[in-house]
Amino acid sequence: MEVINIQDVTYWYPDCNNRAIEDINLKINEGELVLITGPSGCGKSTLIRLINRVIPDYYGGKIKGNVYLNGRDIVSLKMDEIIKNVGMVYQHPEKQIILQDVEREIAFGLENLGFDVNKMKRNVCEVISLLALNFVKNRQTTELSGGEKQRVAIASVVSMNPEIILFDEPISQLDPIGAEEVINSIKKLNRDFGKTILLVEQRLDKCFDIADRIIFMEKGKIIAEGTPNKIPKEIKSRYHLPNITYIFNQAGENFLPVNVKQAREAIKDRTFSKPDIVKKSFNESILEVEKLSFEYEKGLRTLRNINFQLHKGEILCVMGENGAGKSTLFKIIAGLIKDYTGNILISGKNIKKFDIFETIKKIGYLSQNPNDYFGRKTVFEEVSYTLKNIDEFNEKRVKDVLRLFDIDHLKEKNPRDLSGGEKQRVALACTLVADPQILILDEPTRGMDAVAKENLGEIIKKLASQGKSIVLITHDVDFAADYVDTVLIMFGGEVVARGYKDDILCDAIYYSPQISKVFKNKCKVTDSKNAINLILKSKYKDAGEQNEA
Amino acid sequence: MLTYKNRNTFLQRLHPVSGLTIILLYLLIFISVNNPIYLLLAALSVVFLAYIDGCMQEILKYGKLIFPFALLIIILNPLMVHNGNTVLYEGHINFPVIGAIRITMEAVMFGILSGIRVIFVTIIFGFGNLIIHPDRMFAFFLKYVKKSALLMSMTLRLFPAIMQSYKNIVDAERLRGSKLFDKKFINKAKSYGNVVNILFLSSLEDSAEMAESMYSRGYGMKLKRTSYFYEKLSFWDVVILIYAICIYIYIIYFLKQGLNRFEFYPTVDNPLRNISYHGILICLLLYIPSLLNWGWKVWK
Repeated sequence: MEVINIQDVTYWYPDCNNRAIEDINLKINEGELVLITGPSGCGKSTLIRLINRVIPDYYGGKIKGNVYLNGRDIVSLKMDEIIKNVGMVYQHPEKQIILQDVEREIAFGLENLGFDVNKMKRNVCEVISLLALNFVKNRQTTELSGGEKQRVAIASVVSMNPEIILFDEPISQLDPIGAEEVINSIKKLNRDFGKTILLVEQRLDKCFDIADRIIFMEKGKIIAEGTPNKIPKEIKSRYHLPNITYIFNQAGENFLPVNVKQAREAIKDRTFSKPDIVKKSFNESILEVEKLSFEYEKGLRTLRNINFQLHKGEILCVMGENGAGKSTLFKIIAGLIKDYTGNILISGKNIKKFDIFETIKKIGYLSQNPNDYFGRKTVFEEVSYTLKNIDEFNEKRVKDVLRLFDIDHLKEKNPRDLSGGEKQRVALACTLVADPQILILDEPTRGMDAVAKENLGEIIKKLASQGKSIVLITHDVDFAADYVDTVLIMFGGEVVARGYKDDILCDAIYYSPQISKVFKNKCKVTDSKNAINLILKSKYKDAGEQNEA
Repeated sequence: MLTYKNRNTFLQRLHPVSGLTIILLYLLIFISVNNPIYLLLAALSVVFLAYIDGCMQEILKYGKLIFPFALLIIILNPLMVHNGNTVLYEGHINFPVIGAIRITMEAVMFGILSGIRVIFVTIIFGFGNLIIHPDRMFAFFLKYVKKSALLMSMTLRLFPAIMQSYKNIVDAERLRGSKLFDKKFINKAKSYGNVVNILFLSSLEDSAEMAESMYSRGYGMKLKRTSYFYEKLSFWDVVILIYAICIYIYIIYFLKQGLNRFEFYPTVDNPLRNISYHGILICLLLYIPSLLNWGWKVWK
């Protein structure tokens, strides 16, 4: 039975001449799990907001066409009828939690809709059990991890018992463990409780194979529909496919696996030659960390006896669980935390002897949230700001950096009006404009689509080839595997592994990219390009052997 | 940091109205009473109450947070106000805006008292933050003052997030060479202005997203909103409310009788000479909640 029917819908945001979505026709059946995917700004989030009438009721703007919910035109429904039928979970866990107690937060929607206490108690208790939130129910929402917060947000929606649940990039801000927890909850709601689910997501590796149907969008339009095992031929872009599927597609394979298991099955009878792995050699050490220890509170050691070196032109990836001390370590190196023990030398000089201007010239640090940088009116002013502060303003230098990041066409725009990927590039430009020798990027790929990530990766490689040393603090193992040279893994404030990426990532149990898991026991490979070459070569080898036979 | 944490104490278990009544009582005293001795005695009773409740360190942190602003008042008042008979220093150069410097004992004393008052008021707001559960307060007051209750509750919940955001922005600005720690006050003020501007813009953006989440969960849709938890007045709530009403009446009597008289200009009064029996008694009565808290802790 069809529960959602979107007919010929076109929508314009207020004061905007461009169509956010155009001629959308989409039918969703009861109990379906539909994944909507596409690049940033393609209209995915706008599309799902039509279904609970947040668009146009909350956003305003102009709409053409009709949306039907259970056969009734959504315009004729009262808002509380819609809310009882359609729930929505948003991207940022912190920005959708209103209250401090977990239990009260889960009951928030029920209170708004005027449910009686007995019904509320029952729904809250059932949802807590359903989403396995018993162990956090007496805690405060501020104390929860990202994954736990997102599950509380889901619980708050599920407690109203809607038949349809809309998810707007629910895992984009989470670490791998949190993302896994949330995806499992979504699966459970669909498979065990028959909820109709519309999931907008860019981290496709985690959710592509759980969908019943996939809608591919681009430039405000639905360009194709498919299923995990029947991907339309015209779908080839990286932002439409999980990394593994993209690799097999690029290698010209007919069968396109959507998860590690399927990919291993697809190559199980093939033999692979040793991949051409060239290990970069590094000579000149730029950063030396010796016996570094630090404690935020007396007796609670955050970092213990850290020793490592970073070389000129090296791209180092730092991984580890939340709270392992990754960000603290690099905040110390960036000069933001002072009271540590041990030595940090940059080009042989102890950083304690640097003043702030010297530090800026040596180290650029990009924090997790680009919004922390934006207070000026235009992108040009924003990027110039650092140079003006250190009395080195040079218009040509600013323009060069804008060109390097392909944001020169945005120079007159307000940085806060840009898309997520563009904001990240502007923040990066702000950091790089002072021409630091070492660039530290803390979770730079969070919330980025595949194309934005690819662009960032290429920029990082280009900078490294120019002699910059790059440190990438990330949970995104697949991105790291494609672009970094070396890896450092931290656990409990200690360095537990350090070496070339192929040596570390291929042997890793958890911190291993999907590609390595696919080729495990066959050959050591971590990055997409090598994987594509290997599959291509193995295909020709097999064909050659068949011809010989 | 500096926000409500469940400690299961006497004050935290009180009804939100009782908690708020205690806070308003102290606010009334800190705003209306002029004699510094009464103010110090009242402030000490707050510190004592917080000590027994296990949050003394936190309320002192609130004091520390507002201290630079209080210091500014203490410095600026004698420079700007030239009234008073007891002249400590008289300059001859005419400065723009403030004119020739004339520092009087009265202006110094008034500045100090105003600074202290600002610290005490902040401490009491902070104390309220630590003893009244924002969700309980929100749920209770929502019935009477819908939007204001939500605003109040969200402000309290978002305080740690805003503080974290503030720290991150300061870090980002430092790494971009902002003159946050410059010796020149003008540069410093300008740089902190930038930080506040970024913080304001980010908070505004975040609040828009939060509002959408609330809207999609039906907030404001029904005229009558139900409540998941019902707040009931306990025996101790009744005790606290009766106590507070008596003190309120006593303070009003104290003010009406002119016992709060303490003049700064033209000549500052001696605080010891203006002390009255009623004033001291009110200050001593302010220690009753501490005794109740202590008793509850011992015999619970």
